[in-house]
Amino acid sequence: MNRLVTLALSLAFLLIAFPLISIGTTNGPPLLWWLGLMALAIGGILPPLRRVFPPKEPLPKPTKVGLPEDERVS
Amino acid sequence: MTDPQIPVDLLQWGLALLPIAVLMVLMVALRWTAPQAGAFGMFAAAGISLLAFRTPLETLAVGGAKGVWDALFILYVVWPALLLYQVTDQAGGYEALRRGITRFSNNELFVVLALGWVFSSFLQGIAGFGTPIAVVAPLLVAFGVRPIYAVAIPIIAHVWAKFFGTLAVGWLATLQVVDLADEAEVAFQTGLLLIIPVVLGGFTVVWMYGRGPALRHAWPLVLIIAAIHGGGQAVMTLVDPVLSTFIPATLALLALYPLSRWKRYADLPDTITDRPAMRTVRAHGAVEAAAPMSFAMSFLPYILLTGLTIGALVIEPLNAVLGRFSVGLPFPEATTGYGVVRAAAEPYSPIAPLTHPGTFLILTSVVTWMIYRARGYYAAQALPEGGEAGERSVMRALLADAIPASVPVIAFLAMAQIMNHSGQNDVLALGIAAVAPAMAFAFLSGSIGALGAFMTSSSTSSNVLFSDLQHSVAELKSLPEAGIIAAQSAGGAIGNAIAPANVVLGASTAGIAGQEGAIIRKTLPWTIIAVVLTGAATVLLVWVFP
Repeated sequence: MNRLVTLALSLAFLLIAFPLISIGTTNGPPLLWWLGLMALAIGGILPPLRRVFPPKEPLPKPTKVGLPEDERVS
Repeated sequence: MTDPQIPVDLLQWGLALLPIAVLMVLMVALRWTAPQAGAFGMFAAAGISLLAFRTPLETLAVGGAKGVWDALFILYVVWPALLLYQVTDQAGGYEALRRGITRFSNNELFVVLALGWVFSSFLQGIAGFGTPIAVVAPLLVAFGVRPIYAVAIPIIAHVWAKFFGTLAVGWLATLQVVDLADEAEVAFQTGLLLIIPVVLGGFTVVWMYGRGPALRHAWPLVLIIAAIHGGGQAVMTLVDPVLSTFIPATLALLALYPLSRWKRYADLPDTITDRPAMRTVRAHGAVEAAAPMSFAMSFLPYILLTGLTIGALVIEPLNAVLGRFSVGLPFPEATTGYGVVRAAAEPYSPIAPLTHPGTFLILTSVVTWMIYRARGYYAAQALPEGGEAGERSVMRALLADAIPASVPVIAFLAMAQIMNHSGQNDVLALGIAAVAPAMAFAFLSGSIGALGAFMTSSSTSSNVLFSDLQHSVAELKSLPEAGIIAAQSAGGAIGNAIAPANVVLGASTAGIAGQEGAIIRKTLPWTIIAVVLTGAATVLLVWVFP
């Protein structure tokens, strides 16, 4: 899966967790906060998973601010 | 806040520290990217909460969700700041700005100090929430500063303004959580301690630029600005803490003009040959092609941003009206098996979007885009082979930058709240307090503040987390509250220099997402020195004002 798509999915899962947990732990059915907790876990696991399943795509292009010419970047 | 049931021993303290250690090792030593390290740190904090801190899943969920909400305060700066960056950049604004600044002063070091230290501090005085980093980092890159330094410089140089900045939001939050006997004394002593990051920040920027020869050239300039920033802030705390950063930061900005006319700073001396922070070879009178727009037009977004922010925050009736609208969701009381309790909130930490800097950045972006579009700058910058320009290109670039920046900010703050709700933060602070004699605790109290800022990327949040605890320990150890709360506040400001969310924000706006570890390697030594000096000064303060 493309890096940006993975992170976009991760972001969506993390964001949706907030209202689900708030509603589920206050007035709504408990199922909602369980779903929210799962969303938090899925959103959190996606970025590190990319280390386990490294992408086949080439690394992203350097931006025009000059990362490749910055030999002191580290 | 904390039940005595929670064990405070070396094992528990080490476990509480583990998520932070994991995060630092992954980012700095193993060079994981921020989204990967942040998410892993969140799981580490959750795992330790479940296994060693008797935290129920519902409490974990509440902590994590509050972290997501806390992150939205920062993301509401990240997305609009990146939007403003793209709106300006794709019209050729940064190229024009770089050329204009070069003409303003022939002294490259003077410009780096003016943008990286004085302008970022001015922005912190009014805006905050990461705005100085998001705005200044791309400006420095456009000027020719290497991206890593372009992020590290404003981060280090503006933290002195964190606590009393944004019209003293950190100070006002502290007054909400701690019942202080002498508020004026606490504010003044905090102002005194914050002189340390002012002076250290200015000299570090100069050192980063050109090492020893640059220090010999710029020391009078640094001392003058430091006197305005640090001395001005300390004195202003006696008059009105709310304006104690804003006024000296504005005075320093105004002082730049007479200082730029000073013959000593007309040109950069030839003795400065090693310029590690700069990308380009110094050009002496090189002739360049015409700029994409005038300097005044390239500076338009910053004039707009400043005007909007000052107007909305300083004009009290307008601020009151705009601040009336706020949003937030409720959370129930959260507890753990060790009796750690976090109170219910109805609503939790509501956000007032109309007085938030993100709104000012969005308005600035929209107005700037309309003006630049009307003047044809986007069409002029379009690639000759049919490349796109304008809104589609801006939005595509915004998504590519903002999505990778958003995930780690949420992960860091969810991790911080999970640690807070499980009692790991309490064990960390109480552990230090338990083993340290009174004066040693005074020395370490600033580092607790710095730890809070590292975890939450906010001096305000650090004080909300730890001020009450520091106050209680100060009473137990018969230490003066003013010195200890001042140390907590100064440490909370300094800790922002290594706060991952700040670093992610800077890396994104400077176009070097993924290089967060390299930035922290630049800011970490500074932070350690600043915390140690603050600790020593705190010991002196509690000894002089017992």
